[in-house]
Amino acid sequence: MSRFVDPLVVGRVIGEVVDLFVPSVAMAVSYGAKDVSNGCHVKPSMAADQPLVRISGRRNDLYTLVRTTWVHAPVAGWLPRSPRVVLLYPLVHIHAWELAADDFPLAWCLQLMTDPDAPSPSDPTMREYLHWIVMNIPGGTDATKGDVVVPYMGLQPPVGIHRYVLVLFEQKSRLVDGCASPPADRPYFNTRAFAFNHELGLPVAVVYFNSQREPSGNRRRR
Amino acid sequence: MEMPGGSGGAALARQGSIYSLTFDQFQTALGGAGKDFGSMNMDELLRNIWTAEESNAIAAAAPAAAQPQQQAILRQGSMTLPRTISQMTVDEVWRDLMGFCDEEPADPLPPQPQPQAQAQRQPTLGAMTLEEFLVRAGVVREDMGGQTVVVPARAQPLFPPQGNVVATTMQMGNGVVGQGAGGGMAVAAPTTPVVLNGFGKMEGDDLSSLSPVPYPFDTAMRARKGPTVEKVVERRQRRMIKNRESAARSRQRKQAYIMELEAEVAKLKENNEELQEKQVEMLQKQKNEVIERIEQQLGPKAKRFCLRRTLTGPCRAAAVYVVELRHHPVIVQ
Repeated sequence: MSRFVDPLVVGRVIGEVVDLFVPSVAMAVSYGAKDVSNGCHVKPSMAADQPLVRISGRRNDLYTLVRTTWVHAPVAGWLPRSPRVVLLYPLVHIHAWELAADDFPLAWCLQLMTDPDAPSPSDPTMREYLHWIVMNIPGGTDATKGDVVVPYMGLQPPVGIHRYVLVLFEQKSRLVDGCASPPADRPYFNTRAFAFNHELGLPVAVVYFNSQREPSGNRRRR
Repeated sequence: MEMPGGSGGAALARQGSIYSLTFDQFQTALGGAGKDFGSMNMDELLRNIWTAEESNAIAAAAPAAAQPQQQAILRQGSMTLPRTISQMTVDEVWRDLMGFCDEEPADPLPPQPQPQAQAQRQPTLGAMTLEEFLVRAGVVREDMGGQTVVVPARAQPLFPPQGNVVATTMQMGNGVVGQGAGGGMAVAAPTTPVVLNGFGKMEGDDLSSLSPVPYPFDTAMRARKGPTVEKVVERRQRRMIKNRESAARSRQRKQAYIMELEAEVAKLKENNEELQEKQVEMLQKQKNEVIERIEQQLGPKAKRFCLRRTLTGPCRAAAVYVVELRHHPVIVQ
């Protein structure tokens, strides 16, 4: 599982923004047609609107468990005699289980996006700059189904190449809009403190990407 | 180490090499600040030279600074001499030079590529050019002191590729601060290749041993030139640190991206394999299901199939069954 986390460690996201954690929820972020993977480069022009953040499944280990049982059951059935209807049942059974995983009474999720390299990566005095907070995201859906606490702000890296980190937390319970006090200001945000204040614990999923100010002239492709 | 663009060098090129100046001219250029070269240490002499050089560069680049002595840049041991020379004063070196030359009048100083060097052997220190003096001091000292660096031997073969070699040797030895000097040296190379090669080699070897030497001298220089010296030095150092950090960050970024890509590739490969396995199994199941159903359907009527002649009706029915089953869509979900 560490291979999911290594890019975050090397990219100094774990350490500067969050603490070491074990990813337990699969989060897929995409700006339009472009899927965001750790450390990829996104142009600010592409990131003007909020991305589609899809949360899928409860735990990764649950998925693997389901998969292995699928594989083993038919093999056991083949050997003794000619295959009969018996084999069909396990298949159906496992599918049902997968559906149940998604519908599991998943705690609500809170997702936020910050820029730890504001205003400049060599001089991050305003670390971190908050871009977006959505809470009460039901599991298995996407961020549009949640309540927006801090509206999405586009990317405006003034100097250097900035990292933008999307962190997903699991809420213990559904947060009422009033009690989740929105941060007063966008700069000088602290993810750890925020998580501590709202008892969110360690994150369950983190993704980060890079972006830099588009030079007016040439286009750079990563 | 990087050179600070071509601006310093370009400025110096316009200025001409400072080494062509004689001691007297150099003295006057410093505005009498270098009052007593005779009793000055070799180190101090070098400092003055570089100071003037740097101030020339800056003066050329920034016309506001008219006086050379306003902006003297210190060299923090970036270019130093072997121990034997640095502690000696200029006078002593000069005397040695004269003595050496007197002892072996017929011996042309080995690394002198310029035939006119011997003709320039003036009796007075003041009339001798800096270049000449330094050459002799550096080279001659090497011979006498028996230093490990074989400067004379190297200087001649290195003479042709002047600029590159000097630039690289400068870069090798230069510390943070010596960028201006390096640039200046590189430009001065065409006229004083031997000098700089000598210094380059020397500094490469003796840098560590001589780094503490310049420090006592700093205060003297500072008192003379004012607080701006530190600022420029500090600015340069800060810039270099920032650049290093930025380079490190860039490497980190690249590494993180590559790790992420590798992880994704591994994940996708796994996925692919599983899906392919699944597909194979699905096809198998479909096939088996069809066979099953056929068997099921035809089981009770298998006997009738054999009795062809008498049972035309059931035969047709079996055929219909078979046809039906074959076209029956199999749903395995």
